[in-house]
Amino acid sequence: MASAILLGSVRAAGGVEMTGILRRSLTEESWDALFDFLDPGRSTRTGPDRNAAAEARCLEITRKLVFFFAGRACGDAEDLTAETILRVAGKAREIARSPGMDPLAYFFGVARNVHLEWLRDARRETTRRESAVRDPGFFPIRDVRAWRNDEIVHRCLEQCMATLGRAARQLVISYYSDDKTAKIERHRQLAAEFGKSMNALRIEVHRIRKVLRECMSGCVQPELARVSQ
Amino acid sequence: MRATRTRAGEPVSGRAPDDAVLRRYLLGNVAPEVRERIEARLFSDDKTFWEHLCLVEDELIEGYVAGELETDDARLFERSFLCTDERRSKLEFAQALRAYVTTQQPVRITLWHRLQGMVSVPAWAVAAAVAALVVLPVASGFFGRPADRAAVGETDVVASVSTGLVRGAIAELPRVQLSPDCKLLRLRVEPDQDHPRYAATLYEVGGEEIWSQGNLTPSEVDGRTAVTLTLPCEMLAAGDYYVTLRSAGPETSATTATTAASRANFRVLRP
Repeated sequence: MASAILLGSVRAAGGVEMTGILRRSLTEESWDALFDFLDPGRSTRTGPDRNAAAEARCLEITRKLVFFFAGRACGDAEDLTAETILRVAGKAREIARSPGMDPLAYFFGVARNVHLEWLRDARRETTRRESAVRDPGFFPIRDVRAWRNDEIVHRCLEQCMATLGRAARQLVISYYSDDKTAKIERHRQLAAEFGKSMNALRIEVHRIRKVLRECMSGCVQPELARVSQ
Repeated sequence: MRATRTRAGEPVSGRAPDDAVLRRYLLGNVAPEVRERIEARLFSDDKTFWEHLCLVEDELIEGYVAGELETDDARLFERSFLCTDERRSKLEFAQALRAYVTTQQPVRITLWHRLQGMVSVPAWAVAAAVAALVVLPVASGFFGRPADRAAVGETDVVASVSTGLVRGAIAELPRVQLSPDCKLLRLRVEPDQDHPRYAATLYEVGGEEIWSQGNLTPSEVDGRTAVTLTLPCEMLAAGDYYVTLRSAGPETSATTATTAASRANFRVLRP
């Protein structure tokens, strides 16, 4: 399912309202239109990587939208993100024909509108939202039991750490091995040893951590499924 | 350097917000005009800013897990920041990573000197190479039986060695041959004493400690009880090594376990 592929990293928050539009599936044509809007060169390409750039772009925009709504204290940030994406997808074919139209700017504008509507609805329907039902078909909801299973998490961490290069692995372990004052001193020491600035070291660790987290996301769920069988 | 602009072509005014401002933004604790400036950058083509914001988010989560946030910030973190499943998932990851790190031996300076410069090559980003490993049978002796060999997928290989008393005599070494593209060595170390958990430490033959891990649970494979160590092949240059196993509690690291150690020796061969 295209939506699951696109929004696999975004899941529905608990106890929030799902608006009507989220209960409707977009057609394949709408997803195609959205992909073409996000990656204008896609229509001329074929092959298995045809959607890769559009998917990456959509994931980045999805994350930015979540930041946007979360930054505005919206408890429904992920739902509102989905609402925004679906609205843009519904109009993508039409707006893609507008010269100079930039996807990111368009998403931003739609997100502002969605937020204003949410503010109005929130005032009007606060109580109703509490009892609304989520649509699990839209956002794949991860099983949190996987993260509660220490054995699985530890095993996955071992596997994922092992996929890192030696230097990256040791850097992560060393970087997080102290607290407070000792940590600052250790970071300074590491930066000196690697010939990097403190900020460059931060960025390095952040990137390694991102790789590790993505590896973990792909590990804990299958592990739980395997153990549950 | 050209000015940062929104994707619509409008300039994003001012310099990028610093860490403190971004932290307050993430905690939902900035004035509306500051928030709007940050949003303008968020939806601009400023990829550096985007990575910086994600970095500050990671560090905020890490700070919370480490108990380093001020009381008010911690409250905002719980009430405001954790409003998405993705962030809650990141928190869970951070807690798991922290728990994992506490089981690892801090790396000594001497090792870091050897690693210097390596991090500029992001080996972690390179796709996994196919590994091939052959464990050569050895004559019986101190270890009692030859080292085992078993392939696990294309990237892992399992080898088994047995332990004896630390002060025991050393017979012929089990030999492990690693190919240049070997990725993981899963070394099953068979303890000579039964304990529910172990702490393991890997040493070069000269006594320099190069790896350790606590809280290891033994498992039974083919009727043999063993503790499995997952060792990156690149950590193992050609040479002689030994592993010690000590009894350990669930929170025990390899360095804090205090019971007598059992030891398994082996030799790594490389082409």
